[in-house]
Amino acid sequence: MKFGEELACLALVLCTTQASAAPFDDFGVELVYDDNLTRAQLGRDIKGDLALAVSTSGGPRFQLTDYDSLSLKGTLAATKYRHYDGLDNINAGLALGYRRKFGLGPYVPQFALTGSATRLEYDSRLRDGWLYAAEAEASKRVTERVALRAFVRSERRESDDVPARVVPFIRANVFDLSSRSAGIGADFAYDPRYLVSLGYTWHRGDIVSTTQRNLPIFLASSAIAPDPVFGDNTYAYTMPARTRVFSIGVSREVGRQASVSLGYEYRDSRADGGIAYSGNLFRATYLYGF
Amino acid sequence: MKTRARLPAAPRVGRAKAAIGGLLALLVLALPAAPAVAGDIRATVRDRDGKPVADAVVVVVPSGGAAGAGTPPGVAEEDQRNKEFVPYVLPVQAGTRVLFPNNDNIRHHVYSFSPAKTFELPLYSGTPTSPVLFDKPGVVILGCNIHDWMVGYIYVSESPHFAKTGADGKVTLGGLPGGDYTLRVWHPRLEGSEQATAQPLAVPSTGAVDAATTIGLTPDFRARRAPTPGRGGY
Repeated sequence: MKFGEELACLALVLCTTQASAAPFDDFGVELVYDDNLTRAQLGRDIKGDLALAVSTSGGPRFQLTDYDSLSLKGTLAATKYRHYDGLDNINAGLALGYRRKFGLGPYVPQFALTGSATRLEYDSRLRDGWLYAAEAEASKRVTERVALRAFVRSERRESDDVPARVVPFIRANVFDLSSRSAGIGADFAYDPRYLVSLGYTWHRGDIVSTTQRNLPIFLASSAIAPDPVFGDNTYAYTMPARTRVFSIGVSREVGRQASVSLGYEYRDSRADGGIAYSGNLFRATYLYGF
Repeated sequence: MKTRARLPAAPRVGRAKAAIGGLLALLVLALPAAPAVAGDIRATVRDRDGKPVADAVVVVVPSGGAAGAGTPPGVAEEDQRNKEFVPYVLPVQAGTRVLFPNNDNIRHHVYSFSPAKTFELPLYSGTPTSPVLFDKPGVVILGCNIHDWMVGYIYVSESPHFAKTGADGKVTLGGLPGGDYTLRVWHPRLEGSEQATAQPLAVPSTGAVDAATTIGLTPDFRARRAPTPGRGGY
């Protein structure tokens, strides 16, 4: 909350000194199918669903010098699930970004730092809260066809309410999470209009798995709470895990300012006690940049 | 009597001289207004698939080598609108000064690394007071350091006879003195050299001659403006 308030104050100060800003940066519509929303291991617990997400972002950018810029970006996103209404959500965030370009031209290295606070409002109160993130990214366009990037990211999520404990000695705030991740990525333009993106991310930190009563998961978990979103007698378990995410996508430019993209993501998580789950995500995205 | 007889004669001779002088004067005055002894080139540029090529610069130089005299170079404008260079291709004659007005509500940082003109206009809004002089023939590639997708081209011609094709791939170069010329074509995505497109052309003293050129185009892999989803994160 405190970080969010500080960001809001900074936004107000910066907005009063800079009036020339585009109201919107981009607008997007995305269809996402996640075949393992529950992050579950057993077939009986695995639940998949299709979601439609609409998002937009915008805000002022302050060019401090020829090579340094500061941006303040507001984001708004709404997601509607086909079956699991409890996952429907509206998120509103504010991100402060610093970007430095090490020279002149499109091929020089770039470095970006971003700090953000996002308000998460779900249909299920258990998931409501704040998400704070800090990210550092380095990127470089290597040739006219290839661009590379690498990033590190730290996240902390705080839920508004703490439900009653299911087990006396285990906390119930299952959506109080923290994690760190690092990733690399590459874009390859195999045609002027088509861009293929590859990404690999290592993620170390808390994950939430929703299952029926499950002893191995219970033993590995650090928090437990009832999670009625996926049915009666299901529980959300928080546990530390190591997750790998591999992503591939192809994006086609539509005109100069829009793109349509298809993406695939494979996730693989492992926690103590031999717990492992994997999931597949499929995305179809339309994005327009103003 | 003789005197009387002569007297009227003198004015008659004077009137004839005056009439001839007047006619000559009228002829001299009328000469520039008469139809010029000049021909036109109707040029068409197409790619290998037969599609018209827009933004191709067609240049003609007399075969003798001398570029010929044209109107003195003045001041041209390369605009920046909606985070793009407008026009995409600006052909100018060597010696032209170019202004770079910024019509966006954000600042741009225009630069060029090209040997024909290396320059930089650090962050600015509005119109810079001093235009940039382009005095060396060649191609100048423009960029903006804030928006990497912004790319523009200034073609600096040694010849005063040049023009840019429209969307239909056509352009007419008019008012050329009749004679032998060499026609060349340049385009930002031209495959090969501009010299390889050279073709001789005989321009008539009056009337027009057609010139069709087929060029190969390379893919345009400029930095992408459209947003791309899935930038990292978990």
